[in-house]
Amino acid sequence: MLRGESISLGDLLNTKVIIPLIMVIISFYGMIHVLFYGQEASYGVSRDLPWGLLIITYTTMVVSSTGLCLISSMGHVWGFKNFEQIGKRAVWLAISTLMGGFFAIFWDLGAPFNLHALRLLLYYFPPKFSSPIWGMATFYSLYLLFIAVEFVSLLTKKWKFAMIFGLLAFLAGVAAHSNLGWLYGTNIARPEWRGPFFPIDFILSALLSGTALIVWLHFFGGNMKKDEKSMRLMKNLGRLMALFIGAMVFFEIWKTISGLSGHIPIEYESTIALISGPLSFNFWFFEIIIGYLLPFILLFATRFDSPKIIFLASILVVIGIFFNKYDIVISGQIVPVLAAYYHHVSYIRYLPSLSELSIFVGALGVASIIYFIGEKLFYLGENNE
Amino acid sequence: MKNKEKRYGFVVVLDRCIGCMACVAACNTEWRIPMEKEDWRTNVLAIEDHINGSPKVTYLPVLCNQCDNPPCVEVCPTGASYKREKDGIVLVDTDMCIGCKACMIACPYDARYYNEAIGAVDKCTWCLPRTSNGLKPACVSTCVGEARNFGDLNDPDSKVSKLLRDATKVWRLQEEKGTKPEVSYITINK
Repeated sequence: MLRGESISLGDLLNTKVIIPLIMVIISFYGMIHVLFYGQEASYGVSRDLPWGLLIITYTTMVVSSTGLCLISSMGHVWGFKNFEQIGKRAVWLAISTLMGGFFAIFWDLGAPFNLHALRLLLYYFPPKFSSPIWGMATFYSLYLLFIAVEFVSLLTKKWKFAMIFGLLAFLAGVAAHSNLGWLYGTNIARPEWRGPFFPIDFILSALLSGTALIVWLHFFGGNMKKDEKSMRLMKNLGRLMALFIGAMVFFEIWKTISGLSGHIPIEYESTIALISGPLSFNFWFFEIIIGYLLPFILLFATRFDSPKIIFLASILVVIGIFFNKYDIVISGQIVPVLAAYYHHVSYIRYLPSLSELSIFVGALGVASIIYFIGEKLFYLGENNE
Repeated sequence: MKNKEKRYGFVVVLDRCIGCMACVAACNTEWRIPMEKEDWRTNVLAIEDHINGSPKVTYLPVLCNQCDNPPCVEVCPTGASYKREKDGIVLVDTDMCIGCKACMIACPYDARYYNEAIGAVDKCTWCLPRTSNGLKPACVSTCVGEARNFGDLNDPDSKVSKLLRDATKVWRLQEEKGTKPEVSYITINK
């Protein structure tokens, strides 16, 4: 299970860990600001736009965690032998990114220094089936439990357990993540979000970002030059990524058309904010061009033959997914709900504050530290030694 | 909601509101609202329009609608937001709130805000401490034109019941969203 050699603190604090550690230290700025001035003075959010960068960070990181779990399960759960080589790394990264997401949401919830988040445990019962956040807390807790057992089973080569708990983690991940989609999709106050397709959209973006992150893992952990199996997996990951990009673009096109058609108040203005308003640079440049078009063109232009290009495409995709979540979260709130009564609509301004940015960096740092420490502590390669 | 002892209702006579903002000031004083956040619990929107080429401003007082089907209660993960059975007032138990702000996001009336001083989401309660003692909500007491009115809709002789009976037009905000709001907007002029 653990690596054979004894590991000192010095080994753990290698250069891979030092950079994320600095990232976590950067987040102290935001935390201290919140301690002295409170969340309201520290974050760029407002009463009109209460969900900002920290919710976006949480959403992006749990998207990645779910995607990593789903794609990694293809090997030891669904029997695609070629995917077995990345199973452990991907599952460990899924745990790491989930922790990064929890870090971000913790600082977004009210009164973090008074641990108000723990009230969710205190008042967990009776069940609140109508609350997407209650459902999300339930399913993400189960997901974390299952994925942890799956990881231990993979390390100890208990394949049957790995398959069972991999399947359970898969189901809990889909449930938790579609719940997150439900949180947006059932909102009657924000027509831009309202609709049944958000849970599907969220699962799809999870698959895309999970695939992209597995490309990262495989690019650094695999041996494409000497091992044909490794190269084949890289090509398959590239193809999967192209497929999921295509599906995301398909959703994006129809979501935009649906947002524009009928001039439905608030929904129309929110869509305009994306395509030609304050979010248009994010939408067109970061999401559409960087996130979808460029990687898609790069992948097809090189016919999935170049691991470097597939890796480059995966970096672009991860950036695109982050901005996809940014655009979703902000566009749903950018038009005030009271705009329904006015003839002219004005947009709410939102710019992440330094405190939010520092905690965003910290969340990435938390996920990276956990991953790199795990890489040092556990043997994450394929179990054929 | 059925079997309520009282069915508190709020009736806004739109053609009586002059936009003096005395209601907002009374609310601020009653609830000690911080400076620059005067519109936290209630507000009066000035809606500009052009009728036959002439500009016209309509004042629209807004406050919590104490919905009978409140989306804010539905989304609360801890049960901190709840609707009182006996009178239908939607309240927040501040000791149970985790500050996720899902209720703020879910409210189509922008009636909620996060109050960092109490570490919880807060909202208009139609001045529950006052109404429990037989007083009117602060905004109703101070309204010079009697545009804001409060009372028991189960009592046919209450002022609000009479206003609804005599109104030339009655509507509720964003009723199509299925929230069943308890604030009625009326006009009394023909």
